[in-house]
Amino acid sequence: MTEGVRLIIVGFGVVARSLAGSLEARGEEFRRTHGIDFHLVAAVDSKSAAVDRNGLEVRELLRRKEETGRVGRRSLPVSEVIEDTEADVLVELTPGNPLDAEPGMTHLKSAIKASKHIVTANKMPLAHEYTSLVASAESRGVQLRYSACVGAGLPILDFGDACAVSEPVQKVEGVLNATSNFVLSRMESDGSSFPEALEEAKKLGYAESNPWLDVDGVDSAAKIVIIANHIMKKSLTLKDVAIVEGIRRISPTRVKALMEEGKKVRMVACVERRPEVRVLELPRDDPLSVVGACNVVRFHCKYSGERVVSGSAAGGVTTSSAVMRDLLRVGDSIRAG
Amino acid sequence: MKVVMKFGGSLLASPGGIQRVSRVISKGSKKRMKVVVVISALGEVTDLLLHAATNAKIWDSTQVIHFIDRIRGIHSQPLAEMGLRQPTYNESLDQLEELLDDLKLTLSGVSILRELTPRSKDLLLSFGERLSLVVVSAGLRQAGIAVEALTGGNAGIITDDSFGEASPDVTKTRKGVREKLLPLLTRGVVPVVAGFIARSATGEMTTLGRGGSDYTATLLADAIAADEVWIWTDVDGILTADPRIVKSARVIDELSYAEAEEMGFFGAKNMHPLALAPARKAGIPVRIRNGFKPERLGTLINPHERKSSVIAKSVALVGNVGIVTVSGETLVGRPGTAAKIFELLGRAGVNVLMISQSVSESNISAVVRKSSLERAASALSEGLSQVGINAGVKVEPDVSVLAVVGAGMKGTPGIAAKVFSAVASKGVNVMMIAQGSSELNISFVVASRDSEKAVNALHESVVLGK
Ligand SMILES: NC(=O)c1ccc[n+]([C@@H]2O[C@H](COP(=O)([O-])OP(=O)(O)OC[C@H]3O[C@@H](n4cnc5c(N)ncnc54)[C@H](OP(=O)(O)O)[C@@H]3O)[C@@H](O)[C@H]2O)c1
Repeated sequence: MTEGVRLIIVGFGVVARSLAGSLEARGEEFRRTHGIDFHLVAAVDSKSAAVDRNGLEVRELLRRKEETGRVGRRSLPVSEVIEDTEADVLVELTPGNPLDAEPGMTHLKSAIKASKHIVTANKMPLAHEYTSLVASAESRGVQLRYSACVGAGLPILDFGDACAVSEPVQKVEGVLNATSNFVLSRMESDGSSFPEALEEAKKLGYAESNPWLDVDGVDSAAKIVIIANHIMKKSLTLKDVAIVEGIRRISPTRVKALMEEGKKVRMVACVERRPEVRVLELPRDDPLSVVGACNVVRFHCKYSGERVVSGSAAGGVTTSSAVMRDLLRVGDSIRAG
Repeated sequence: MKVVMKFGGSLLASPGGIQRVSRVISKGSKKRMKVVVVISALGEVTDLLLHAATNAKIWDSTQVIHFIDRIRGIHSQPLAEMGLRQPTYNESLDQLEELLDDLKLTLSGVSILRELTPRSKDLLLSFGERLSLVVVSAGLRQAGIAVEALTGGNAGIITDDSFGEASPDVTKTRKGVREKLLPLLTRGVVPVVAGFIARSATGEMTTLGRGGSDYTATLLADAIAADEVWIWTDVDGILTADPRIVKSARVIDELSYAEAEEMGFFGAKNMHPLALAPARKAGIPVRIRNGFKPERLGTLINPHERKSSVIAKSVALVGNVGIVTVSGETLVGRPGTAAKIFELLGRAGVNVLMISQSVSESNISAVVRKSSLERAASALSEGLSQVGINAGVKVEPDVSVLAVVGAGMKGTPGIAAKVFSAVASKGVNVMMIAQGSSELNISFVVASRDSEKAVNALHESVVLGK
């Protein structure tokens, strides 16, 4: 027996489109391997919405979005779509505003109110109101999954979960912003200045046109909040993080001098008691001294010592693979009743 | 009617772009056209690979892995977004992974050996078109077009083994391409050929040089005796001038191969220097068209030189050049000095864009790319003193070349004077002037700060004829 799982996708950008396309292509595989039959019943972008309770034609939807820039012909209030469409899961993939976490925050609250499970890659709502969102989801019997929020496709939260099963994790530290790490690596490899390296990152598609959330440490701060709350059971918010220093003022001279001493500078987010984001000078062979557009996290476990996970952590397809992982887990549990 | 259509990377950068390409092909097929498709690498991929080519020597294995991830992302995103059916989706992902594995091996080799030979550089660059082939052919299949995906080598293009800029063996290529493509066309299959890459007689991957996809298209066209070649790009055709500098620039409807080649030489269209040659020899017309606006006809490059009322068809501005001047009394009356200078620069790998000798013959100036200006100067001062010519060598870095091109200039008396006065009337000082041997162009050098003013003046007077 296959279980039908109906999805609403809100935000139809890079991550969402690659998710929709691969769910469609791999639909048969998931029916076979998980006994789950995904149907997309609603899709929403910033200007329009498409709703069909019998399941939208995904190829047609992707084509329309590509050609017209819109998923649907009309615009509908997003909260209404989330609350009134018969569906099992909200997939929230809008960009999050760092000041108030909107529009994602409202979307998540609507879904919880309507008892719909949630899978999201948007870190801002969780960085702002992790504790209350998790509590209210739990009280309504709603699953809230967010592994794509940290590490894109790299399963950092799952790895941390495993570390924390049998012992407390006492400290977590990591390089959580791939764009910044690319920029620093670039400065090391050819002596370029910060603006030059950032320009290069934009050209190669690692950095967005407005990369300040990345290089000033806000994105890392949001992620360390989620890790601390999820793995260490804290109840932090973005405001609790001391963002000591981003990477924008790092000079090529400093990078060069450190290299000569066998050191590297890295933007590290850390939580033991108080969470913080700062620029650290690390030995070249420290596991946190990773190179390129990637993430690395070190979990300090009470009895077994340090555990490190690292890997590349950028791009729409990798991120959508984490969303897909969460969706299958939600599907599995629905199927298990 | 047989048409070879080449699609540039900017048209293939998104799933929508690939759909657009499929509509163009379907439309052609409905009109009973037999279409051969030539494709470039997706979007910026060639630039990324060039970036890897210069940097892989200093990369460690992590950097290689990250680069591969980046390339994977660029190709897997459109594959996912196209909403492919099975088994095409999984097959395409498998092909992608296979190529990425090879790419990783190539890059790891470079990073371990800390060396990039021309042979491995060609191999490295070939991945752009080969990866693109996976994505584009999946998209065309999805649109219901029967395609056969071929690398340049598999399509029959055979070259020598001068890696980096290999020369096709015309006889073997004609034979190989015909044998491969004609049966496909007869069966109604659209061959999709990865441009830019080819194969040496011993089976190694070679490339035709930057802009080589256009060359692939004309080589195939020659071999199968195509009726036309259509180069689909993201611009409306060849323009009379750079629209960023000249507001009144417009599309040239028609020009001859000779004119087009002359413009290509001056960097008008990033065209491969030899790209037109096969079409020219076979008399096959080439159209440059805008893939985003397929209803427009674009620019037709054809065998005939039509008489036209305008004197010139275009004005190009080539920046980033410099002048190196050799001067000295001993140059006077010494025959063969100019040839010697050419030879010395050639040996130093410096490309000479223009050369001119002053009336007094006491100095000779050559225009070269700014990046090779220093190299040119030292090659000349060393080389000339070795053969006993005592000469001063001077460089001038901040200059630009203006090139006016058009068959209308041939045999028109007083043309140089007219061109000259158009510039002079704007108070611009002309530092050098030369008429090309084909008489299809006059080019001259001005200070870079004057160049935009001069281009506009010329466009007004000799292209628009005002
Ligand atoms: N891309 C990555 O590598 C990556 C990695 C990890 C996490 N994430 C997170 O994943 C989320 C999605 O990222 P993305 O790269 O797919 O972003 P994106 O390409 O910018 O797409 C954002 C989508 O959200 C839509 N949107 C914006 N405001 C909206 C509103 N008020 N209501 C409904 N829809 C709205 C946009 O609509 P229009 O299409 O109409 O503009 C667009 O479709 C973000 O939170 C991002 O931080 C991304």
